[in-house]
Parts: sequence; C-alpha cells; structure tokens
Amino acid sequence: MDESKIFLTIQEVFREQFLDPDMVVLPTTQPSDCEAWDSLAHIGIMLSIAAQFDVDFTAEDITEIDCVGDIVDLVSTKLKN
Amino acid sequence: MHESHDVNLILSSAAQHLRANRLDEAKLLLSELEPSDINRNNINPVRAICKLLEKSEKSLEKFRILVGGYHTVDTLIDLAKFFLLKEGVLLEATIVPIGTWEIEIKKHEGLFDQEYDCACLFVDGDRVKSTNQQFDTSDGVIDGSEALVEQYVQIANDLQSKNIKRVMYSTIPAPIERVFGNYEMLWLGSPSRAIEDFNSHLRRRSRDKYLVFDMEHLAAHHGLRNWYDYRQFDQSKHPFSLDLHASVAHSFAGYILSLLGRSKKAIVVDLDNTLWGGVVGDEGADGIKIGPNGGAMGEAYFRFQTTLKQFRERGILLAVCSKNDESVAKAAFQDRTDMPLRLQDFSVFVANWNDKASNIRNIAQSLNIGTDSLVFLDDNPLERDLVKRELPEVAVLHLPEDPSLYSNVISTSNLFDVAVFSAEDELRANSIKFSMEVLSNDKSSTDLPGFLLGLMMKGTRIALSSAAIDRCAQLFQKTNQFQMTGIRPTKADIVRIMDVDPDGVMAWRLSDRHADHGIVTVATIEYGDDDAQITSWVMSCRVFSRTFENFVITEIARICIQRNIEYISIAYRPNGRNNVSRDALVSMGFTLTASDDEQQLWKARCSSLVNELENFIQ
Repeated sequence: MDESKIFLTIQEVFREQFLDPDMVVLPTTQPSDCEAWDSLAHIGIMLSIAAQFDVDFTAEDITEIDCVGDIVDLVSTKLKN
Repeated sequence: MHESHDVNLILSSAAQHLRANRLDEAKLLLSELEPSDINRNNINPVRAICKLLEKSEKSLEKFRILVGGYHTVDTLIDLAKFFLLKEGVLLEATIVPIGTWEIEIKKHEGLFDQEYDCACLFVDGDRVKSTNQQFDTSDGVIDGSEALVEQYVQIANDLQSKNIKRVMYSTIPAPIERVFGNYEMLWLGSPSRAIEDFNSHLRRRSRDKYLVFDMEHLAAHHGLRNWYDYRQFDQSKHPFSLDLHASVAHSFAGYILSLLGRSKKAIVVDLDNTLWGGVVGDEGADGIKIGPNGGAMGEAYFRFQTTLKQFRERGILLAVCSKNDESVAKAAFQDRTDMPLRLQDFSVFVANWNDKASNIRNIAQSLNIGTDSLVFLDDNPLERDLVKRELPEVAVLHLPEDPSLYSNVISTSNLFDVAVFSAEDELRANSIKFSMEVLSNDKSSTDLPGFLLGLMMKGTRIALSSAAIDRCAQLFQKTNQFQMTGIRPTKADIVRIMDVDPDGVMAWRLSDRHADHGIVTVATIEYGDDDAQITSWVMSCRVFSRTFENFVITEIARICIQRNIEYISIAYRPNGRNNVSRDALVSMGFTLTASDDEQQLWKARCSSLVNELENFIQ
C-alpha cells in the first residue's frame, strides 16, 4: 500500500475517532495542534489504526509518535515486515 | 449489544444532531447504547459526544468529585461523565496525580478551596499485596490489610471535616495469579488473601464512615481473564481492560445517581410473555408457562419473577401495566399459586386496553412518585418505543428475545443502586396501600395518532391458499379475547363457506415498521339482502389498540356497499374473556339492538362505518 493511501486511511480514523467528518490532518499535525488529541485519545487512535491495518504496535511504537507523518511511516514499515 | 458498525452510526448521527441543536433526537439515539457497546475502539467518539452534550445541555445538575487512584482513572471518569450527562448530570472531577492520594489530601490545602460532593479513591491490588505482615499498633497486633483499612477510616474522618460531603473507597478485584494453587486463600501471606482481607475489613468498617464501590464484584462479574489486560496496563497504566471501562463507569454513574436521589423506585411490568410465557387471555391460567412444568421457558420466567420478588422485598415497588381484561389478568395470579409473584406484591394493577404511556402516568400518580422514578419492562418493542417516545424520563429496558436473560437485564441495570439502606426503605413497599382500582380512562395526553402514524402500518387482505386457511383455522381455535361470536370454524368449514361465496371468509395480515405480524385477523360473513351478518371474527391480541379493527370493519363495509347491503350485524356472545370484543363493538359505532342470556345482537350502518371510522392503516 502506498503512503498516500495509508495517510488517507489514517485521516479517516481521526475523523471517526473525533466524530468530525470535516477534520483535516496533515503529515505534520501534532497532538499540540489538536485539542482533542490528548494522551488518552492517542491510545484509542493507535488501537484503531492498528485494527484498521491489521498490524500490531508495541508500547514503544505508540509512545514514539510525534506527528501524523510518524504514524504513516510506522504503518508502512509494519506492512512491509 | 449492537454490531460495532451500528454503534459507530449511532455515535456519528448523535454528533450530527447535537451539532444541529437537536438534543432530544440525540438523546433518544444515545439511549440505545449499552455499556457493552463501548470498547477500546470507540472511547474517543464517546468522549467527543461528551463535549458536544456538555455544550448543548442547558440545565445540568452538578456533581463534583475528587478522585484518586494508583493507576489511570481518567478514562473511567470520562465514561462516567458520558452516562451522567445522558441523565442531565454534569460530573466535575478533580483527579490527583497517580499514586499521590495520601500525600495530596494531607499537604495540598488548595485542593479544598472548593466543595466536593464525594472524594473517591480507587484502591488497587498493588497497594495491598505486600501488606499482610503483622503490624503492631496501640490496639494490639493486627494484620497489614486491616491496618491499611484503619488508615483509610482515619483519612475518611479527616476528609469529612474538610470541604467534602462523603468519601468512597473501592474494593479490590482478586488477582489472577496464584502461586499457591488451592492453598492460595488459606495462606495468610498470599496476595490473594491480603486482598480478600482488605475487602472484608473495608466493608465491615464502612458503616456511616464511607461508601464502598464494589469493584471486586464487577471484576468477578466479567471474569478475571477478561478483566486484566496487561498489555494495556504496560502501555498506559489502565488497571483493567479498556473494553470493560464503560461497564464499570456505568455502575459508578449509577452509584452517583443514587447519591443524587435519582435511583428508580418502581418497576412497571407487562404480563403476557414478560412475566410468563404465552397469553393468558388465549391460553388460560393453566396454559401459561411458568415454573418447572413449563419447560425451559417456564424456568426462565420463574427466575425472572423470583428476581422481581427480591426487588420487591428490598422495597422497590412493582406495578402491572398490561393490555388484558382485568379479570383475566388477575385470574392468572389467583389460579397459579405456583408463581413466585402474588397479586399482593403489586402496588398497582392496571389491565386495560388504553395506551401504556397514559397508564404509566396514572400508575406514577397513584404511587405518588414521578414518572422519572419508573422502570418499564415489556417484551414488545412497540410498547417500549411508545413509552420511550412519550415518556423519555422513564427507564425503558431492552429485553432480549430469550427470557432466560431477563433477570440479568434487571440486575445489571444499575438503576436501583443504594448508598445507604434503612429500615424505612424496607417498610416503604408495604406502606403504600395496595390499590387495585382500575384507573379511570383519564384524558390521555399521549400523542397516540402521531405514534400510530409513525408505525407505518399496512393491512393486506390475503388470498386464502391452503396454508393461509390452516393459519385462519388456527387463529379461530386459539383466540379467546377478540372473539366475537364464539363460533370457531374449522378448516373444512372455511373451505365450505368459500365455495359458496369467495368473500365469505376474509383474512388480513398486518405489517409495520418493526415486524410483519402475518395473518392476525379472520372473519366469516353471510351476505343477506339488506343485512350482512358477521358469523365469526377473531383478532390476535398482539395487534389490539392500533385501530386495526376499524380498518377491517371498514373493508368489510365497503364490500357490503358494493353489494347494496345497508347494515352489518354481529351476534356477540360473551365468554368471560372476550369483553374486549364488546368494547370494540362500542368503539366501532355498533348499537345493541337485541339481547338474551346467551347473545347480543349489534348492528351498524355500512355507510357510517366507511365514513366515520378513523384508522391509521394503509
């Protein structure tokens, strides 16, 4: 799966998780850019993304995310392995 | 429990309603959600709904808590907020950092600048596991768990002298690890034993000092294997599975509602297929299924009645609200002495053919409590929908198909929580005078036409195939309530009548938004010169009170008019159970023209039936 497709799926997860169909995220979007993306929300987002792509994240994977782009990279690496 | 797709749909539609300021619609949708629908994948959307609800609710009752825990409690509190917002309560929580409870409440004076309705500490196994050594105190030697409880008692006393109304501690779930096998609970030094000791001391010392939230029970209810999720614990310090957080939060919210005096006080129950299997009006008191002789279904209803009886003995009032003839419904209790519930267990007994929302208003009035103190149980989704729509403040529980699960639904509803239980509570149920009066046909404020229209009912006359004739003969055989003439044509009779006149037997099916009810009414008619006589007519009790009889008689009247027949007559024959048929004749506009001991002749003009009768069936 190419990275733009992964990105779009991730954007869709954000929209679903925050019940905001118009939400726009960028690869550079960080938790600090988005009020609802707190540490609890982060867990839900990552669990949902893992389920969406049928991959597994470790505790380190989850804590090392700084922005949406990092999630795209992480998923893309997991899918290759 | 809903499919996850449906849950997502409920949540996103509710969000849309809330953004468009349609609070009532949003709340009606959200009332569909059960705690088991909320899991690790949709906690974020639920939190988003919380924010929207908080914005749209105008008048919220506040409840302030100070929360401490040894692990992450934020998710639990967020979800409790959700369940409380649905009830119009705003939970404001100050959460002290993980594991700092004892220090914060001693040192952090600023914490108590505001008042709290409750200080809640979620105690954790790790706090206790290593405590079962002997401690030397001024009172002598006590074990570690007991010493810890004494510390908590002291803290509770200290807190109540500050700006805090009550203190609440949680019990601790049993650990899943056992290193001693079956000796685990016998060995004083084992973690499992330490936790058990802690819980029992905590409960014993609670009286008047603090409240106890029974986390141990919740963990046992869900099973320890489902409870512990170490992966999640390692990642985010959630002490138990994220999938069970909503269930615990729901219980916590129920506890808080009870502190606000919002526990439910009475259970309103339907009878047929809710308290017993079958329809007493058709099958008679001997035919209904309850108890060991009624097979699996009988066992299920017996369990359910037993549970209700326990609620009754605890002081929760019971009331009957059933579409039945009163004498028939009461006979079931008088004749079936093997049922756990007796007639005198009910504080109000309403069996009539009025709409249930009006009846429930009357029940609340005669119990002298608000409709918001009522829980309504009915196997019929249609009745539940009507009550939900008309009386959103009544808690309408979703009963599953299988009656074996009924008692579980009521005992896990978290609607009857109590923080303190007094002897007065026990007396309350008995103090309300047992009132068996049939409630008057008060002017109903229920928007019944609106409800019936919304059902999108469709009545269809059925071509009488052989299978349809079987069904008609069966309807004639087993129907006793809407049974006009007492004549029960057999299959052969039906075929014979149809040979003479194809319109001599007519049957209709009824479908609505919820279900296709199949063939539910059948009549036989003899067409004379200026008078058509309905020689038999039955209708299933499942479709009463929906103007379906008006629809059917109008259809028959139309056929009569085509044949230049001016009148329809019916020879009504009372059988002790079919008063409802007589009521129907009156409401359809028939007049009594002659009567003797056995039968009454009722008559109506076809043109008035066609022009004047209202129905909501297409």
